[in-house]
Amino acid sequence: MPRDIRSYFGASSMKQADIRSMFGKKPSSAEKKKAAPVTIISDSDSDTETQNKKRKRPSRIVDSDEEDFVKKAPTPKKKKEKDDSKKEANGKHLKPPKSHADDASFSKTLEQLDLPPKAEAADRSSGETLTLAAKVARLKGKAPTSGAASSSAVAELSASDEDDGPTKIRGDAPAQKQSPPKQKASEKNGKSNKDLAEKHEARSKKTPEKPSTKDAARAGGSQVKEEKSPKKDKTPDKKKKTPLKEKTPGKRKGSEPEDSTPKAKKSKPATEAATPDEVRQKKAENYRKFLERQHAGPKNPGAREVPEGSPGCLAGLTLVLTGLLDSLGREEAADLCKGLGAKVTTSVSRNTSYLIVGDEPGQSKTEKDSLGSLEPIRRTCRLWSGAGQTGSGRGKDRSRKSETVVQKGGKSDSGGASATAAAVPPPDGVFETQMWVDKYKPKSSKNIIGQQGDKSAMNKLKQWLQRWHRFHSGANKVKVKACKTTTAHLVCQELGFEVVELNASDSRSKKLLEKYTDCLQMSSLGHAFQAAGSGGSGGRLTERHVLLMDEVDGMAGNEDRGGVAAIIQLIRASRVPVVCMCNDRHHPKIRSLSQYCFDLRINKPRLEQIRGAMMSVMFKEKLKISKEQLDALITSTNQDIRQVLHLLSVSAAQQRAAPAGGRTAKDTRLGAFDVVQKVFSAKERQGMSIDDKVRLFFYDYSLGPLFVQENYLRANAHAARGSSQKQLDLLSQAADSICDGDLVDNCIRSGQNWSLLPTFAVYNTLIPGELLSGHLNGRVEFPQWLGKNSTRNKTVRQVQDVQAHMRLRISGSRQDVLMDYCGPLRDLVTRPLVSGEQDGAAQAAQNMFSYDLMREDLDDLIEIATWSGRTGDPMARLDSKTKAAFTRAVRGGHHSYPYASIQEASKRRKGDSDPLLGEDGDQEDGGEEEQEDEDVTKDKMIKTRRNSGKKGGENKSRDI
Amino acid sequence: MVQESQSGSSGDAKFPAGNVPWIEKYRPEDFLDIVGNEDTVARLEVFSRNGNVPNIILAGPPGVGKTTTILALARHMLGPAFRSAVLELNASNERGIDVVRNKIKSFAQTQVTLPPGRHKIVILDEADSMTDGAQQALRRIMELYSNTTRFALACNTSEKIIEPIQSRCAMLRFSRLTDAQIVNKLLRVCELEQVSVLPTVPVHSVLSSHRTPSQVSYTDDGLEAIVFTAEGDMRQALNNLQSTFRGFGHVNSENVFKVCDEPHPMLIKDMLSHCAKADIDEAYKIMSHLWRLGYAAEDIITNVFRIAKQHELPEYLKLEFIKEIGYTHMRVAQGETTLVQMSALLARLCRVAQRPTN
Repeated sequence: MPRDIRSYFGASSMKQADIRSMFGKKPSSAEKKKAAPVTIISDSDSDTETQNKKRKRPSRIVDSDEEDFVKKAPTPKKKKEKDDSKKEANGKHLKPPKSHADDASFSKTLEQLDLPPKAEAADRSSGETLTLAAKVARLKGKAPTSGAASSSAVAELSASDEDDGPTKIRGDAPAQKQSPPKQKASEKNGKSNKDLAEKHEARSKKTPEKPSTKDAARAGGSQVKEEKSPKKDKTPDKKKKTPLKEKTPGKRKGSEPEDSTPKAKKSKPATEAATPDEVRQKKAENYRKFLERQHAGPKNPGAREVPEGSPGCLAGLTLVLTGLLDSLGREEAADLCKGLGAKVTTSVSRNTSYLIVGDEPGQSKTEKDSLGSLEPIRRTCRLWSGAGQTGSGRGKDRSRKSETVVQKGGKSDSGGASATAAAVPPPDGVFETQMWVDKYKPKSSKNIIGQQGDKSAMNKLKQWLQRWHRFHSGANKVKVKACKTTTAHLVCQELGFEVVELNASDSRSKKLLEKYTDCLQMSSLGHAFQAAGSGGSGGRLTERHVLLMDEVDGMAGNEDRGGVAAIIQLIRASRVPVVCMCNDRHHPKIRSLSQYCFDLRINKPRLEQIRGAMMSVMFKEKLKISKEQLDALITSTNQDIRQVLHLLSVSAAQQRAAPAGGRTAKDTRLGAFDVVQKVFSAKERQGMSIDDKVRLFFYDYSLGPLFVQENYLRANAHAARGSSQKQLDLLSQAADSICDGDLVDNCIRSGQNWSLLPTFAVYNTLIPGELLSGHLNGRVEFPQWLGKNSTRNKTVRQVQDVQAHMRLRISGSRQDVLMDYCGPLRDLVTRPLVSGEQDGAAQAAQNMFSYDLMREDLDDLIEIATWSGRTGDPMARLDSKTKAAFTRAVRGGHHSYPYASIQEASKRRKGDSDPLLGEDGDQEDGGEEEQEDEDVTKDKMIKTRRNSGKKGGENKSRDI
Repeated sequence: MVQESQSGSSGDAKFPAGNVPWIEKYRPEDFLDIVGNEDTVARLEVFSRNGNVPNIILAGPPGVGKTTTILALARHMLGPAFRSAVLELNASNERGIDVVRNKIKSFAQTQVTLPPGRHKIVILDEADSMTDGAQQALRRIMELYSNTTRFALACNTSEKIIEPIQSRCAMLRFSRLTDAQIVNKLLRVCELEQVSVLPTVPVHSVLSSHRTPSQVSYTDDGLEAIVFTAEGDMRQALNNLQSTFRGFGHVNSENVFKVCDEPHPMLIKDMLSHCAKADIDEAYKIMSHLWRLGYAAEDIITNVFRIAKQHELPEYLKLEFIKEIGYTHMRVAQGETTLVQMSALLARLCRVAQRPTN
């Protein structure tokens, strides 16, 4: 076993990208793009580090998952490759974006953080000889370039963890185990005792270091496969589980990565295609889960009160327990039942009266059950409704929400808890109180979907936070809604920071924020600070506080006047890390904020990741949706996890209402895909009147037309009868009609002529449908127009900016800038840098100045000068020193710009020495657009030297 | 389940007896009474029984039952606690950012004892008229207090709702009601109002006093006319029914069109038939007649469009007609609302009809 671990560490620290490239496969550009956070700095770093890794790592390729541990035989490489391709592409962005010099300190931090968790781990896994933490530490010590390799190893661990994301969402016991901050210490102790008990009975096969691994590595800022490890560890210790174990003894092959396993879950064992491979894998998967569960124990020990049952109330019943019960360990539950007079057996038979089913029931048992006529009494993790106990063993209806009774109060579940449990009859309405979004909220940073991207973003965030005090850098800004708030919270929690949150629901006007600034500076308690809910912190603002400014782009209105400016001031003056979150990086308000911030982008998770998680959710909620529908659902919400969960919860309600039929009604989000099918399907159209056909359009009259336009080319018209000429004719006519529809749409939107909607429907849906009525080839694609539109808007804005800045120097229009100027200009600036490296910086800066361009304009310029197929970004090939030199030259170049830089619209008070300078940081450049003060000394356009030193210095440090 | 028939004297406090608008009088209180969108309503009904409704956005055209559904849901879920556990804000209330941050937030924070699984509900009607800033302020509140408070938004166009809010809610779409559903409801209302069916012989109405039940007679084509003018909007249909009844007492198609002031569909139908036969003169006669009656081009063209969809024409011709009408409609919408344009439409239709088929 130790050998496996070491080899695991050695081999699998290779990045995904590396593995793939070893096989000659390149990660798809889409994946790359998606997973790529945009920080200029990291690019070059990761490049070099990737090189390092490639050279160092042995060529043995292992599936980077914990599956390794379970595997007895190496799975064929092809499969690994396939699996790899499912994973996130861009391992390279797992690298911490800090320079090499910092890695030593980074690893030191890691080691420091190793210590406390090791103590915990020692608790849990007493009797284990060598903790994995020690191994990690050893490895780190051994690795030649300590920083890079270890962090990469650690990061790689985390990378390979990404697949845990989906299953973690289930809030399984392992995941729960991994969030110690959330649990009470006593609980943990209790559980550890129980674990001990388990272990003693156990025939432990695997290296028992996994629990400690998790803690160590996790504390080290990356994630470890927690879940995977328990399954390795744990053993079929419970005697009741022996039958199950025996059934799946030799099947422990490497199962597929987590992405596919949730799909292959037990939820539909019978319905899976019965290829032997899959069956085997499924069994392996089941076994793995089983091991997990064994190790994990109940999910919420002590979460509920155990009511007393009258002795003997279960007399005469034969019970079988299966699955993971929410808050009772298996033994305790058994004890409970026995104490009440029932007989507890381990397998389902003729005599069994009730099968008590927890989460993830053993497959064999439920299968047996399905043959018999037992009613599984399902226990849920929901609210306990506290019904009575007497005679509770009888008369349960097959409600899926029967209640569980839980341990006696007192959170310790020290093994001897003689709790009495009884199966409680389902009360008349068993109520969930949580929305699914909350229920499946990730409880630890490992649960977050999209972990690859998140991991890197999260890792960065963690590292940034850890190093914050060293750098005193400003805030951290994250992008769009891929769980960024949750991420930030969890990261902060895990690192032991206390979070103070301000979001769009709180007034964040300048005045209020200034109060915060004071607090943060003086690190004393202010009333305003208290109001923000620092609550339990007990007052003093310590180093361990983090200020979360959520939804920064929502600052609007009277209340928030001057808000962004105040935030910036806050950032500069603050002694605690400030994390700002926003959706739209390019929002004008954010742009000024962004210079003061470390930019951290969180990307949307990918379809597969969400799918995996959602399948597990669906399994938990006993919801049946086919894979295609789920995919369509996810795509239609644009990979928005929250929305998907909501839609699932609604359709769950629907299914519960009509359990017999599958999906009885269309949810319109699904409907967009189906609608398009219908539009072009000859069969469906036969039965429809014109009104019906027009009605198809009205399902979603904003998205529907886009769908038609995206997919009409795929339609195979029956009228064409195979003649491609005719098909082309029909396509042409359909295209004409869709264009007409577009004209109508324009008319509608611009003039608010909503009465034209039916006309739009006719042109867009009815006529193309009639012409091309037949069937659709291939999948229905989501319209790309939306994405392209936003790109277009961005480009327009960029061109506008650049042209406005260059106004005095060139007389060209925006067209001219786009077509003629940007290419040569870009070359003009970058060529000195490419050829002269740092020495060319001055020349390049001079070139910029001759066109009155600012530093940011260069980025814009490069972006608009990029056409597909042409050479990429020349700046990417430069190393950081050159870039830094260039930035310094431009910012410090003392060039007086003829324009004021763009600030958010906020009224400055008179004479306010505004800390928000022009974007290049020099005092003399246009700070304010409104000059209320005629005092010459305060006029921003006039060069003065006050305050320039400190701010300039600060800005410069941020540039790097 | 069936609404008690109120004969006006027991009207709401809001309305003077006898003048209760039927849309309010017959607003369904129970899920079973809600007409249309059965699937969506069924889902919400499940929630009302089991509790734990997520945040929802109901989007759809006006008059299809969004507000009614939400109210029914709230009433069912909360029962007697309805008054204290529901906050309703529609476009007639202030819903600016300050209100969101103060009023809604404090409501979300207040403690209301409810049975397990039930939450307080904040109903935001006509949510698409909330400003962006107000919606931004709403997002976090929705998340933070989701344990105790759920939000239900109703809007016409979901595009006006910012994406973060859309992401926090389940989107449920309401579509227009079908004709059959509307007719059913109308019939039921007529019963309750003790409207009697009479053959097409009109009966002089007895203007209702608030004591005696009114005698309203209706004919089939009257109901058809109402359905035609309603266009899938229940509110419109009920209003038209009530207005026609109040105005004329007898609900037949002539009266309905007088009340709703639309060009009579028969005229338009004839016009289209003439065009199909390429008879421009006859068609023009009708058009100029309508014009003289004072109808606006916009009204005429919308009706022409609606009728053309249902007209019995050969399929290919129908499509061509609809296309032409569409073009003209665009021009009208852009401001060319003259008789010349309308006549040009007729001419084009005739020309299309004359062309040999492909």
